[in-house]
This record gives sequence, structure tokens and C-alpha cells, in this order.
Amino acid sequence: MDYGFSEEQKILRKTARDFLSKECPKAMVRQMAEDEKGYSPSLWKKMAEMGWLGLVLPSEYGGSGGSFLDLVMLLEEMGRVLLPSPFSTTIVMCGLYILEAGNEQQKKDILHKIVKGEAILTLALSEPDVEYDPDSITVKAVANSDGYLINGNKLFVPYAHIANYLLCVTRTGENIDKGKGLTTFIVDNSSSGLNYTPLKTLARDKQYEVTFKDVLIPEHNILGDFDNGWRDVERTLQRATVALCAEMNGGAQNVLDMTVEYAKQRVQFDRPIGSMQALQHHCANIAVSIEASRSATYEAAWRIGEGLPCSIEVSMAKSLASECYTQTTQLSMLIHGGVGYMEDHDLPLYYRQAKTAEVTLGDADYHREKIAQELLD
Amino acid sequence: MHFCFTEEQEKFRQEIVDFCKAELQEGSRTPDLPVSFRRKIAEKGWIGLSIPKEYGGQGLGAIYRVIFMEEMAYWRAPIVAYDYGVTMSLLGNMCLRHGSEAQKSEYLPKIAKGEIFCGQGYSEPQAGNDLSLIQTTAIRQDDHYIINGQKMWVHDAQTYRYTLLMAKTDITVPPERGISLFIIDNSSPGITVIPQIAMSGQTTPQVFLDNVLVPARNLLGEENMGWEYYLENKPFYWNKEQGAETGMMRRIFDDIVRYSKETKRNGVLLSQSAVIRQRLASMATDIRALRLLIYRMAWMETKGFDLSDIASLTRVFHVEAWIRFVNKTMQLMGLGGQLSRRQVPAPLGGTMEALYRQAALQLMQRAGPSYIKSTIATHHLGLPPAW
Amino acid sequence: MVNFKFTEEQEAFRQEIINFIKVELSGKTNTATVRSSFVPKLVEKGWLGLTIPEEYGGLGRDAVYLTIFNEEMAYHQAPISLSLYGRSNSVFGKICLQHGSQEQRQKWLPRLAQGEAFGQCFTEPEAGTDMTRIQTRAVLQGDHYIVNGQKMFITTTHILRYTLLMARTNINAPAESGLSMFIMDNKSTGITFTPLMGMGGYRTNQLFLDNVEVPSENLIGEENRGYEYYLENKPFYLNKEKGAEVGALRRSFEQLVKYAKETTRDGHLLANNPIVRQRLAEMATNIRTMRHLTYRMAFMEAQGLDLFYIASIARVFIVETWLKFNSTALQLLGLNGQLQRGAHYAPLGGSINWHYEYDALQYFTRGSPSYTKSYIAMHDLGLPEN
Repeated sequence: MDYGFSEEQKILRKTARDFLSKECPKAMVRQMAEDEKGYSPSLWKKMAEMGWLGLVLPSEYGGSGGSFLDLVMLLEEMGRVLLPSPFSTTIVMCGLYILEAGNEQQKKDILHKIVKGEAILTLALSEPDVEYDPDSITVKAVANSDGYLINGNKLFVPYAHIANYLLCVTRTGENIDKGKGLTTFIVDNSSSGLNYTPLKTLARDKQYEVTFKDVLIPEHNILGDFDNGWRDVERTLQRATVALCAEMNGGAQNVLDMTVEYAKQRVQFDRPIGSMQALQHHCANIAVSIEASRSATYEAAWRIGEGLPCSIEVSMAKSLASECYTQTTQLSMLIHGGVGYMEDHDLPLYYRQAKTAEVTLGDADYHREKIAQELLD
Repeated sequence: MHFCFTEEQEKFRQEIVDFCKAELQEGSRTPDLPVSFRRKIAEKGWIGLSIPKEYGGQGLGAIYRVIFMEEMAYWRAPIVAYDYGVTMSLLGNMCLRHGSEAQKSEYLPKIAKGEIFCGQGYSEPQAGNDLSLIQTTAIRQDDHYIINGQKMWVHDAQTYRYTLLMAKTDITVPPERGISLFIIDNSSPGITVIPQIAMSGQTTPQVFLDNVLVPARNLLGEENMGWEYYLENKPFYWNKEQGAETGMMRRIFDDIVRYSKETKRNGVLLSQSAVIRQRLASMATDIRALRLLIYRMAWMETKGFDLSDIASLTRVFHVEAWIRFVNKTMQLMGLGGQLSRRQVPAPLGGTMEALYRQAALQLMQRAGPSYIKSTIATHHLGLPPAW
Repeated sequence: MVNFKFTEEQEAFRQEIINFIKVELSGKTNTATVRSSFVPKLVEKGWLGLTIPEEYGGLGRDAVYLTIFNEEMAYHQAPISLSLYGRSNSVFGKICLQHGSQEQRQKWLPRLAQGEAFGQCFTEPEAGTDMTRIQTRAVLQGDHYIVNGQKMFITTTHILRYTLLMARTNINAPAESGLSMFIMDNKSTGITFTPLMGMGGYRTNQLFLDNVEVPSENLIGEENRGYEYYLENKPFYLNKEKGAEVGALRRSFEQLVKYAKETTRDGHLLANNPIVRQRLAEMATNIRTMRHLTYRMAFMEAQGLDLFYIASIARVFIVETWLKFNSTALQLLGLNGQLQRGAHYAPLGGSINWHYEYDALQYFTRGSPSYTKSYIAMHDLGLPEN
């Protein structure tokens, strides 16, 4: 057992914190909500220069071969400041997916570009009535002489409009067994037949509806196994879930810090409100909850890094983080009072983000059922 | 950072598991099992795991101690983890840090052999969480102290050999600067022990001290430094059964899972009920999070880090997780859950009913969660002191 | 004698309101024209002066009637701001009635009955839950008070003409003994305001009062007794929309149930999901309890009984139920729940999504639940002062 961080990890965290506090002030976060792209290309370039985009990709693709835990630390810092960027989407959801399941050509073509900041990727999985259940997926890919034709609607695709590649999970066969009959295609955004509709979301983030109308994909763009892609998607979702947990924990910690600061200086009834026991207990409860959540996230991240089975740990981490982050923002709203409700305060940004993250990649109920499946079935 | 044990630690755990399986088979739980069991674990050196070798211990880090407690609890070993935990975290730990050589040589080997137990003699009727209100006095006279006063919740003055007693040695200064700690032999003349029965079924003695003569060499550390020792020792005391709580929860949980997979209610297997699955998953998550926190604290102890914050956070998490756990288990067992031990149709041998009653103890023992939350708020988060 | 039935008269009143709403609103979309003609129709019925005594142009009904009115208006999503009128009635209306002079009552209360709403101008940057920290000064000069200071989170300055101001008239007395209440004209010279935006499009204002003249006949009651009036008024203020929360939640809940019965997610009907069912059942139970507490409080008010205990208890329960409902409902809506009003796939038209933001106000408005709970502990349960 070792709960310590290495020197490199400590440096990574400190560098990230300093860099992001300078490069990602709240004004930038708000601006990105209105901005058409939703991220800053110049910041993306700087992140590439810092080596962040290649942090967990092997050196043969220009990366630094870091561990998943290293990535989680970085993501915590990004979550702290609510960095609006396609980082997790590109690297976690897609980069690592391609690393694990792609053939040599695909890895060579795409991973280098990711590391250099020249490619943004996203995953198209959910649909109007489908969240994360493989057997309900309806977007079809049908073979013809030139490749495959994809038809259907994908929903909640992050940064679809600027992604160079979309990894689209389609139905190519029957689900004779749970999860079977699915194939993932690497869709080049220059393909014809693609249509993007921005979604108006609670967190004001860049999520899209992507309509596929006879989008033709060559056979060599199949990622992983044909008709058996779900296995890889599942692992991708596990990584993405833990990545999200890390961001959530970072966000929750920042909200706690903000709340404590406010409670120390706001005076009512001749005392700082932070001296009221009820509020102290609220803050203590949040602190305990964040510790538990963070512990579970680190364990899950470590297991992912070690290639160990981690389904239970991932679900435990997400169920804890989901409840922790929303409750933290809600209690913070209670403690801040009027000032925290105003749009020019930082809290509304976290309040909305927490609620979004609560249900993204499965809410606590969904994950508890997954835990139950592992334990009972 | 890594979340697995070393090979040695895994081997150690396996050793304990094998031992428990061998000693605690079906039908082995006779009345004289506890005595022989305790003798055997003492012989194995498992009681003095974190006592340095030169004082008869194994000199192993806190993680080993936690592993031991966890497995003992999981296998329902006929030991009371509390007995060992309280002795080691009070007398053991304080002797190590502040005891004289004579005290270390006197007590540590005996603790390691499981020959002596020591309880806590701090609280008084008017002094619960706020120990600065104690009134028990210790007046120096030649080579003795004369102690007068009354203590409460002194577990277990009836059966333990020693009590670590908190008394005022200087009444002219503010309380925190005039308190000392003494190692009291419970059989000393002048000590009267009156047992009280709690809802949990446990006895918790009241102790009256009437001109009790305590040799000066039984003063622990320096005179009037007792309050500082007490504060410094708090994290260790709060988490003295580190491991046992997780072991117990894991064991009950495994039993409950088995129970759910075998039991039907209203025609449906419990393990197939969506609501029960949610509850079981919550319980499993609580256990996992608690275990992560407990082992983190043990790891921090081996590294010599300050434990006050992690101890508070872990303690609060533990108590609340335990209350949730016990509530869910009782609910899960439905009507049968009310039945106490040894009643034939009682599920899980009726253990939950007793545990549910005992759970209430957690809300107040060792400083209840409310008090600790205030400590977290002021000490860990830096909020101003409460009014 | 405990009786959970309404009287025939009360039932008839409720039915009258329902019929009225059906006639005025069914088939009509929520346009500006419909909205602007609705309130005058309510005025015609006298319903905006339900609890104002008849001698001042009201209907002289009791709190139960007002609660029924609010509940049905909210349930049927009528285009009237029950919050605005609620505050107007429970704060200005009640205080004027209780402490205004006969002239003031005759001047102002009929206007309330005629549908004019009055605002509340108490809060300051340093005075939120703790009103004794008010610093705005009102100095008597001839037949006017000259008012100087700053107010914060004043929601109605930009939409209402008159407001109830609380200002300090005695700086030498202890903080709670130097405040007075006045009727202030928002259009007076010297009042400037800047908008402040809260979540969900919530609009409030920051006010600057620079030598504003308030006629001395606009002082309500006695000088320096303002804080006393404020405390006495608290129970009414805490539950100013009595019934509206219940009606609104009942409506949202029904929409949620309907949505669950019609929506498939990942191949399964939401309404068949056991966890969803548990949550819905819990919500239903809490809303039912909320309704009981609301009507019990109204009944007690109608009987002239002391409201301090029930008002605090009800407020805490209502707020917690309300906020929990929003949070749980939004969670149940899953990924689609993120979609805002107007978005194509937004469930329930995005209303729960919007409420999650807008209603966050309830975490702290009229005193945070933490404060109210301490109040309950000290004043109702008799625990020692904190």
C-alpha cells in the first residue's frame, strides 16, 4: 500500500495548478460558453507543448508514457478550474481507445497528431433514447461495395463540430449475446452526410446531435473487432468515467475551498458565519465526502493503470463522485446565500457542471446496479 | 501510489486467515476456546505487532496491525479487538512516546504477550467531550500521589489490570496546564468499581477513587503534560480498532450477500430485487471507501505523518457508514431482523439485532461525529471556532 | 377535532377558481396578451384582495382561502406571479394592516385589493439573514425623512412603484432598536439601481439611495420599532406563497410521472424501473406531507393561533422537499435532463432543468434552512441559545 505521490506527480500537479490558474480564469470559462468552438486553440497548443496531450501515450507516438494515475491528477486540476476543452474526449475516450484497439496504421496516423495537438477526437455513442446500453443502440452501419453506410442519430457527442475524427459506435449485427453486434468506425469529419446540431445544455458545454445520412466509411476505418466492438467501448467508458470522477473531485474541492473562505469572512449576528456549528458540520460533511470519493477514484485509476479488472472500483468511484459533487455545490449555495446565486459569481458554473457530471457516464443508481451485478449475479 | 499489499503483507494476512480457519471450525467454539485462542495469538506475537522488538514486540508497521485486526474481526475470532486496541493505543502508544525506560520495560512486553489490558480513565459525570472540566485530583506526597475523584465509562475497570487515569496535579493553573496521566493498578486499595449496563448489553463501569495511593513512578511522562499527551494521542485512540470495523463490516456483508441469494421474500429472491441491489451496492461502496481510508491512515502512521486530520475524517466516515450499514442490514432482513441471537428463525444468527443496539454507541463514543465534525471544520478547514 | 376535509364552501371556492382558469386559459397559449389580461380579471373577482378586510376593499377571507387560491393558480400554471403578490400581501399588506394608521390603511390597502403589488426593501450587502445590520439612514427633516444608503437583492424596484423600506432612524440605540419602516416611492429622485442577474434568468437589483425624500406620513407605525414588526411578520413572510409551492410541485410531479410512463431509456420504460418508482413514491409522500403542513398552517392562521413554530417547520420542510424534488427529478431525467428549455429533446419542455437553476434561490432566500433550523431548535424546542 502506498498512498504517496511521486516527486514527478507532485511537480505535475503544481505545474498544472499554476498554469491553469493563469491560463484558465473564469472569464475564459464564461467566454467559451458563448464561443463557437468552445475551447481555446492557442491554449490547446500550449497544452501540447507542455506534453499534456501525450502524457499517457507511448513515446513511439511522441508521448511520454505516463500512468493513468498521472492523467487523473492532471484532470483533477482541470476540473478545479472547469477548463473547457476537448482534452478528456480526445485523449481518454478516443486516444487510449485507439491505442488499445487500433491497428498499426490507425495508431500511426492518428496518435502522433493527437500528441502534437493537431487532432481532436470524440466518441459518438448515446442516442435519443439510449444512454449507455449496448443492446439498445440503433445507429446502423450497413456494408456495400465501397465500405459501410452509417445512418442514424447520435446525441450528446462532445465537441463533435470541431472534431477531426468521430469514433462512432454502430450496430452491424444481431445482439445474440449482450453487447454483441456492435462495431466502432473512425469517421473522418470531412465525410459527407454528417450534420451537427448544437445542444443547449445546462452546463453550457459543447455537446452535439450528430446526424448520419448515408455516411460512407471505408472498411479500413473499423476500429477493433467487427461485430464485437463493445468490449473495447466498455473499457473506454471505464477510463472515461474515472477521468470524469477526477474532474468532479477537483471541482468539489475547489467549491469547498471557496465556501470555507466565504464562511470565514462573511459576518452576520456579529460573528463570521463559519463559526456556526451547523455550517461547520456542512463543511465537515463535504470534506469527508470528498476524501472518500477521491480515495475511490485513485484506486480505480491505479487499477486501470495496472490493467487489473476494475468494473466494481470504477462504479464505486462514480457513485461516490456523483453524489459528492452535487451535494457539495448545493450546500455551498446554501452557505453562500445570495452572492453565490448571482451569475457573476463562480458558484453557478460549478453548480451546473456538478449536476451534468452527476448523470454523465451513468448516475449513482446506474453504477450501484453495476456493482450489484458484479457482487450478486 | 499503489493499492495493493506487499508480498510479506499478503503472506501475513494469509497466515492469519489459515490460523482462524483452523482454530475456528464448526463446533470448535467451546467455552474454553477464548482463553486458548488468546494464548495462541499471543504466542504468535500478533498482539505486539507494532511494539518495537527490544520490548518484546514484532517491530512491524501499522499496516500489519490493521491487517491483524481486520482478519480477526472477519473470522469472528473470540477476542475482543477493543481490549487489544484500547490497551495498545493508550498505554502502549503513550509508553512508547513518553514512558520512562522502566515503564517501557515493565508494560510493553506484557502488552505484547497479551497479559495485561488497560482502559481509559478520563471522563467524569460533568466532563464528557470537554475533559478540561475534570475534577479528580492527584496530590504529591513524598514518593506517592494521592488520588481522589470519580470516573465514568472506564471500560473495563472490572476486568482490566490497569487504567490510564487523567487527574489534576495543579489546580492553580488553567485546566489544560495542570493535568497529568497516571498508570493505575485497578486492584489498588481505595478503588471501587460500579458496573452499569448499556443498551448494547455491555457493562461500563463507574470508578470511585478514595485516597488511592499511586507510586510516583506511575506518573506517565512529565507532570502537568497530560493534556498535551492526550491531544497528541487522540487520533490513535479514535482509531484504535482500525481494521476491526472494516473486517466486521466485510464479514456481515458477505453473510448478507449469501443470505440475499438464498432468501425469497414475497416470491422474489432478495438478490434480484432492484432496491436491495442498490442498498447492497451502497454498502459495498461504503466498505471499500472506509477500507481505503483506514489503510491510508495506517500508511501515514508508518511514515510518521501527522494523523489528526485523517483520523477525524476517517472516524466520521466510519461512524456514519456503520450506522447506514446497520440500518440497511436491518431493513434488508425485514421482520426477521428483530430476532435476537439464538432464536431459531433469526437470520444471520440474530447478530444484527445486537449490533443495531450497539450502533447507537458509535454516535457518542470517543467523541461523537458532531464533535469531530467541529474539529474537522476548525482544525482541518480553518474555520473560526464555534460559538 | 382533526379533520382532513375542506368545508363545502372551501371546496366550492376551489372549484370556482378551477372553472375560472379553464375558461380564461384553456386553448390559449402563454402570450403577452393573455398574460396582461389575466391579472385584471383576477382583480375583477376580487381575488388579489382575498385576505384584505372588506372595509378596505378586500374580500375578508381567511388564510385557507388564500392557500387554495395559490395552490390552484400554481397547479394550473396561471400567468400570475404568486411570489410577487404573495410577498406584497404577507409583508406590506400584513404590516400595514397591523401597524399602519387608519389613514394609511385606507389609502394603501384598497390598492392592494385592486391588484397593485408592493415590494420589500430590506436587504443590504451586510444585512442578509441578520437585519440588525441595516445601515441605510433615515433622518427626519421637517416633514420628510432623508434617506441615504444602499440596498441589495431588491427584486421589485424595476417593476413596482411602491416598496416597504426598512432604514435606521436611531444610530444611538442598540442595533435592533433603531430601525423603522416606510412606504417608499421607487420613482423618487435619488434612487438609482443596477440590475443583478441570478441563475435561470432571475433578475434583481442593487439600489443606491441618495438623499431620497420620504414623506413622514409614510412612516408605518412607530419610529424605531421596525425590527419588532419585521420579527412579528416573519412567519407570514417565510411562507408568503402559501400553497403555491404545493401546487407547482404537484403539477411538476404529475408531468414527471407522465414522462416516466411514456419514456423508454435503454430499452426499458422508466416507469417500470424499480429505482425510479421508489424515488417517485418518495416524492409523492413528501409533496403530500408538504400539503398537509401548508393547510395546517393556513388553518392555524385562520384561527388566529401563534404561527412561529409551524411557520418555521413548514418552511424548512417545504424548501427541502422542493429542492430535493428538483435535484432528484433532474437526475431521473438522465442525459436528456441536461437539455434546456427550447432544446429539441428536452424532457418536460426543459422545465425541471430551468427550475434546478432558478429555484436554487430557495437555498437561502428568507433565511437559509440552517438558520431556520437553529431558530426552531432554540425557540420551539427550547435548546440553549447558540
